[in-house]
Amino acid sequence: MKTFCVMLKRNIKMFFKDKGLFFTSMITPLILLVLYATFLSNVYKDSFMGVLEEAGVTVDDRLMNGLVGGQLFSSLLAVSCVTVSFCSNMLMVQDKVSGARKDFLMGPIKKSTLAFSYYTASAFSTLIICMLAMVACFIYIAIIGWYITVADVFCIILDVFLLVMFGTALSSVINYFLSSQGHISAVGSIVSSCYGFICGAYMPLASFADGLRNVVMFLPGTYGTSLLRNHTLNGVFAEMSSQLSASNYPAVDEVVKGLRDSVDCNIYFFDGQVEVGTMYLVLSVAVVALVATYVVINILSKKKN
Amino acid sequence: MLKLNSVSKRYAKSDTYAVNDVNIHVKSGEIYGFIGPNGAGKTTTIKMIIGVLAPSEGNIEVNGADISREGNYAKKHIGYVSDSHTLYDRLTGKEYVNFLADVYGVGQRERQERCERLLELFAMKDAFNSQISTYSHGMKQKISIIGALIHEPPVWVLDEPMTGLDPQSSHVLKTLMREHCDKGNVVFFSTHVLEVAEKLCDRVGIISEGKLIAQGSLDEIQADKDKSLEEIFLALTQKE
Repeated sequence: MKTFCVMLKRNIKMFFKDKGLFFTSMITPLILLVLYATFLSNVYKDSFMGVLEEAGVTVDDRLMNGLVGGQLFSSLLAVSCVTVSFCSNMLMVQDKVSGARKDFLMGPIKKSTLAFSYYTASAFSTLIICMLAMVACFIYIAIIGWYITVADVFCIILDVFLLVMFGTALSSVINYFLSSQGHISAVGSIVSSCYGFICGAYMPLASFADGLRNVVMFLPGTYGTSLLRNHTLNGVFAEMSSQLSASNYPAVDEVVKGLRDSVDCNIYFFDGQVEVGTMYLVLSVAVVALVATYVVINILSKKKN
Repeated sequence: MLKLNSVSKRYAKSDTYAVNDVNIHVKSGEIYGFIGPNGAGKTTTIKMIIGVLAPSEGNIEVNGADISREGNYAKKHIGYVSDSHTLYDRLTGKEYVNFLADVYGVGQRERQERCERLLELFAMKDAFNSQISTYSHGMKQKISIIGALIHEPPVWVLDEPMTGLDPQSSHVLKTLMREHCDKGNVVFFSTHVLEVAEKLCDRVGIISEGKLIAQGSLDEIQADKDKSLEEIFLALTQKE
């Protein structure tokens, strides 16, 4: 246990001291922020306004800002939890490349302790960064239009935790097989550029073609994005419903459902709507399965040696 | 203290042995020099002693513990220095040594005392709080030696330890090696500098093409007393 704590401390320290690794892990969230600040925010705002005006509905600016901000918030966290964990877990590969891993194994450090320390350190570093991002997002939402309930705040924290565990487990399994600087660059680039698209963070799944949408529904990360969407936007939609009901608008549920569908709060596995509980189940099972895979490949490698 | 019992190593996909039936017994108080030409099997043997490679045949005992079966116990008794240690450039010398002291469970008081002594001996006090990335090659070698010795291991395994060291530091290391053995411990070291082996070692082993072709004290190896270790080494390895 003592050796594990020493290795954990070392791995976390090395990640935060490695400015390259740290800033690489921040690239995707920063890209997303720039995209929103420059045009995505306006595109979504105009799109929502268009849909609402077509339905003869008007909502106040603060509510609209809450809707767009909630979408930004959920996209940012959904992507960060996975891409940051990939970058922080690159330390595992860097140690192989630099020969540090061999050095550790010369000392009284078990391979299992080393493997567990990489997982825990990566999860811990990613949690720190994502929780800071989450606090920043809460502050931003509070300024532009806060509609998130206390229960949803706790659910968002749980979503972030689960997504970080998922990202760390996935990156642990993939990074285990990497052994060169070229591998690090290739996987880093692919994950940073692709994950945001396939999990529905950059563009809602609703805007995908049917075939592609059905494919991404097999990926657990998609459910994580939708969970965050639900918990950041539930309050906005509740407020919208009450505002529309107060103005005696006849098709409140249809309008809100249409908006929920368009931002992936409602997602469909083929034609069946996936409930929030099922999303949690899919994500939790994915985490357990990936952690089990990581444990198995470590055991197999130990036997092979 | 350090025993290699009929140790052989054959790498996967290779028909030949990198190390073939090597028997070495380094007794308490001995400095054992391990010499051989490039590719003779020195590094493979050292990697097996420190537990990075598992022998294909035979076994290695460190302080009575089989390195393959009781790896962690055995490794706690080894201090390993190579000429190409992986140091963490972003850490300071102090952070690096503290990390190793933590790994080996060295208490705060002991580590401070040992650190002060070794830093003084290797003239590294001023650089201890600087980042390793700013160190010269020799300084990196010195901090790697300090790190390897911080837990006062009874068995020192040194692979070309003088590489990059200035004459003063080489002298300090040689003195430390002798002091260490005088306390009843063991030093197993490989070198290409035969004069160092000749002057420092109680016994030497010469390895060539994976086989230990000569072993013993200098007197035992030097059948012809007029020949230097270099002449004997060249004669033996060329014959092979």
